[in-house]
Amino acid sequence: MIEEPVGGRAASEGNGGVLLEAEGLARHYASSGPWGAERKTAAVQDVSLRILRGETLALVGESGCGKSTTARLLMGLEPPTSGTVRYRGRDLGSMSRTELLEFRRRVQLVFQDPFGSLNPRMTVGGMLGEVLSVHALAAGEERGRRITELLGLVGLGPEAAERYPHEFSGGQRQRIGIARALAVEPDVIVADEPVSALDVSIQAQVLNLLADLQERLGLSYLFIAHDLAVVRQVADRVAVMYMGRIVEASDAATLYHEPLHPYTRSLLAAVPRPWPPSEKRRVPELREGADPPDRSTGCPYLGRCRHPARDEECSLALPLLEERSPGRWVRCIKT
Amino acid sequence: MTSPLLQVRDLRTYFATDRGEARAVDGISFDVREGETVALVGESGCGKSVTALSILRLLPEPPGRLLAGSSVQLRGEELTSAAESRLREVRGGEISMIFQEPMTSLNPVFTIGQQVSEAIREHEAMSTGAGERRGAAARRVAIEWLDRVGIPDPEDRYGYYPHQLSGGMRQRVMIAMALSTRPALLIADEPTTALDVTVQRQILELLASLQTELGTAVLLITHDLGVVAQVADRVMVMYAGQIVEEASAEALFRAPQHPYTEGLLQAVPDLEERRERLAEIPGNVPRATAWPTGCRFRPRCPYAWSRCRDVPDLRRSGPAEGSSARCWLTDEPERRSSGSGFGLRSPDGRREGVGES
Repeated sequence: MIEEPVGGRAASEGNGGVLLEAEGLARHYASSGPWGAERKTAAVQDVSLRILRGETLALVGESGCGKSTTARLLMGLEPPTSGTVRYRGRDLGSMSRTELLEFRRRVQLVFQDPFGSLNPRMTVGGMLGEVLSVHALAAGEERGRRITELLGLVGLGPEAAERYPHEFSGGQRQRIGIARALAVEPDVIVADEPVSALDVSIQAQVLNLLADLQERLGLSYLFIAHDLAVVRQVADRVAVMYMGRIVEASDAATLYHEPLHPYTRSLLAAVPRPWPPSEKRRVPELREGADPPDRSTGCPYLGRCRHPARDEECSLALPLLEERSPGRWVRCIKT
Repeated sequence: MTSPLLQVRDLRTYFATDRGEARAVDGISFDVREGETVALVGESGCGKSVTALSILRLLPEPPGRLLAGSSVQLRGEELTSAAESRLREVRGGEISMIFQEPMTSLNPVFTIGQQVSEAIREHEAMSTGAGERRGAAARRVAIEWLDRVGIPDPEDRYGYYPHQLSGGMRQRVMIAMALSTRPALLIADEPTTALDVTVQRQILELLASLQTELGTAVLLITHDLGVVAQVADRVMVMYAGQIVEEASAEALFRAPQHPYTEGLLQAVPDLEERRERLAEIPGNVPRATAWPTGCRFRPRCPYAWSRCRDVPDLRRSGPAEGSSARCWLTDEPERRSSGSGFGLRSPDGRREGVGES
């Protein structure tokens, strides 16, 4: 089933601002069940979205909801089972070799664990230099100057070029990971849980840095995170995923202040707030059942849903992702 | 007044490392009273987990060592000098512990039911000396506990292995094991950190209701200030091996006294509104082999002045009863209001996060 892409109105008129776009993405994995029987697990289904120039789209949801798989599909790191990904209007599946190389340069990934993604035997300068030479972006003296500039962009001094990854703290390593992504002058950065391994004080440094870079360089971010407070700080638009599907999407302020889907409501209600306990009354009650049952028809959230209006109708068919007002999408027949 | 349930005095746990001696826990003192929830909060490397492990003497010695003068008393009984046999009784008896990742504490080759009933039988044998409860009786109690911690179909799930359960369900099993022996104190080290947010909420609510029912005191070790606000009566903030602030949860979140606490609270993103910028605590957490001299927060503190080269002690601070901070600002509070703090102003010009209004 192909559904309308989750994206701003302005984007659909003219398409000039759309950098990366997914339409009807699905990804199934085959696993062997008992006695060798093949089981198909749908990690991602019916995902359509658009990332506009200079904006941050966040994908949120709990572990296993399909947000990281969606990111990998958008980056072309694995092929979708069905659906298409377009970069600047060009279908990834029909790109030429040169076009694909250009795509891989323009869309960069920043990982959760910066240490795991940095070569321990290479100095930071060596690593950045390698990226620059692979993409033939800077050579000779120009290369050294560019390395210093990149380190400066992420708040590190030029002396960092001579050091190895293990000599840096977690937050500094994340800065190095960001510098490496920036080296190839991308226009989209896919950041998969970029601050979840960092301490609060360091997390703030990295979030501020990402905001500064966006402003200076006009970057677009696809920001994948489970921490809803972090997402509030960075996102212009938010898409909430549940069991492989987008269940709600809208601009961030609207989603946080008037969540529509019962799942979004329960996610927001569950976040513990650093408030004085006397203000606990402001914490909404979490109303949610325990078990997500394995159901093939109907709303996948029904087993956990505590929406007062839920009934038989919810179990009849999968709700569609509908646009309730401009830019506001929700997959629930009762809201 | 009777002595507190747990009384920790001048606890120091050092480790021998390649870089020299790491003073992981460096002179901390606190009490936990019967039935209350106390949070020990701080960032990685601040010594909070080592504190928990030191209480139960669960640290490998060497490389770790408890320094002379350290005292941990359980209802007046000194644990630092207790015999290993007595410590084994205490662990899982008067004091239970749960960890972040239940998979590492559960045995993968036994069913969850066997493990809960084993905990019950072992405890019975130790506390009464009457030998093992008969298998069937322990099984019945174990099933009751699985039910109590919210495991559906407990009779059926009794025969499940840990890997067959979700992370949240495994943490429920750990809670059943930890509380089935009716300990006076539960030490919970990041018990919900690995869990999804809705599951975290359920586990915290489960812990709170069992705690009320059983009268268990909880020492919660966490980095998450939101979790602290949700469950704690009192809070101790750790930085660089020391407690830098202690207060009721109410006072701490309303008016943090130590600049480090102030910075932490301003660095946390807010669910309600997008902030212009988050506060940054500049620099990095120092290493335990080389804590800064004087006030250990001095190199990162926006208020630091010459006096901070002297070591401040933990002293009464702020308007709230029972609040204390390890900071010279307690003597010269006017420096706080005239300083720039962490340099943040909210759009309407008021200082964010800090209760100076």
